[in-house]
Amino acid sequence: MKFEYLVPRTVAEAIGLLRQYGGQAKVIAGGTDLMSGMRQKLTRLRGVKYLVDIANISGLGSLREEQGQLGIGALATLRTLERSPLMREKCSLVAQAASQVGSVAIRNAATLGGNLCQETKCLHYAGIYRWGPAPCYHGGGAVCYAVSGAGSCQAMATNELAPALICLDAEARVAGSDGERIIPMEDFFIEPGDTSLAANEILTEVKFSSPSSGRRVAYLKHTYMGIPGIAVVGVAAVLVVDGVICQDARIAFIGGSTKPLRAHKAEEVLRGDRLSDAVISRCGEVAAREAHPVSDGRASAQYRRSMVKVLTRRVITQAAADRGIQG
Amino acid sequence: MKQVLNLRVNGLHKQLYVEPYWTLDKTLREELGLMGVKTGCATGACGTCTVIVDGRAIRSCLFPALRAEGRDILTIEGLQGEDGGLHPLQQAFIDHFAFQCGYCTPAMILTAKALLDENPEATEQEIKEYLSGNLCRCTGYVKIVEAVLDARDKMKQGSRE
Repeated sequence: MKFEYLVPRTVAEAIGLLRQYGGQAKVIAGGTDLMSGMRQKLTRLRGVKYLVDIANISGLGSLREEQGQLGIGALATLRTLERSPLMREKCSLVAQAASQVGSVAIRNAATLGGNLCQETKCLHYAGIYRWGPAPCYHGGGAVCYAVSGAGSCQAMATNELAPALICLDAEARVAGSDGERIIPMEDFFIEPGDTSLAANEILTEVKFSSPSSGRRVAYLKHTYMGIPGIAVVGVAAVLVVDGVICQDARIAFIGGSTKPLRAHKAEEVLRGDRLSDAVISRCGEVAAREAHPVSDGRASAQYRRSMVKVLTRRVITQAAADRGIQG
Repeated sequence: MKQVLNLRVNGLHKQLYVEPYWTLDKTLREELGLMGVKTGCATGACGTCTVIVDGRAIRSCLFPALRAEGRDILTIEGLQGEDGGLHPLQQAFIDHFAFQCGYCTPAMILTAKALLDENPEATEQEIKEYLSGNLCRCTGYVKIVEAVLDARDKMKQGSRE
């Protein structure tokens, strides 16, 4: 592992460095994902000769509330999101999701931006089953060791903050050489380990409307053997309940497809109906049908699909019991 | 090419020359001889490289050395009680025999210190959750949690007196 370490002071300077060094440069924020990937000599990181440390750019880690919008800087650590009074009070869904990632020492460094832009955690690419003679699709080859006969990388999404942000209709603010653009969170993810960020673009902030009163939220995650670690499945839900009728719903999950997915059909089951056990149960079944899981060593496709069903059911039940934001 | 790195380690200012691709664990061990910093999995999973950076528990194996510029680092070598002797956590680990091989101990103690500094009233469940990122392959977790609970109580008593 050898690299030069570059410390730009502004976003423009960082983008300039990315443009100058092209594919040889990689942005480092918290470093928990990138540095472990560099240490493991992941195929995609072998050509990286320059790390562009954006941690010293001021303002990129702040949390703010302005004109009914909440903004989370891309460099906000997961520990900050977990403990911030603003998030806990105004948007506990983000705090809940952040608090379930890794361990405290990881969350002290890991950032929101890094979680959204993380490398795939497929065990055949970045884990114990990395034995293939040739690189897999993810490493630029033409084979998938997880799913024989697959035509592309099939790694399951593990970006744990994504379901919550998709449910909040969040948008990503992205800075590039030609100025800023806004990407809806649902469109932010393209393929496993790939976002719609261009090579010389940097995610600067994620923003969403401040949740109004009466919005009820929950996030649940399931890991291998239930120990802290990478999510097998994670499901987030936001419900708007008027009396006993569910007016609106957002459900999104990871671990059931190659990118974080919004479960549109499962949401439709809830809309305009009472949150009875039968409705919640049907919602889980529909969500499971929207998943396209594969067996990848961390869990089988069948197990992932079952867990999408079970966690969707549990997350709706838990959200329904959420007191929501008072006032 | 090596670059200058200025930082504080265990209360002392240090000026070091480090390669840009070195990580903090390697720098502390090989440049300063602080062998209490262990390098285990080197990918952030086992927790044995944990040190305290500006009051927060951090994985030093994933922390580029140059990122430590101007920061305050605490390793197990710099931990001490108010009287200059053992820290209550260190004494509690001895009293409860909370180690077997000892490899995970420095990081366990530092992580527990970060917790008790943050939350002196931490419950048993909070201690377990906070230490969940630190692996002990001798599986001596029960005694480790007991030691941290004991240190918590003694530190609370100490601060009241």
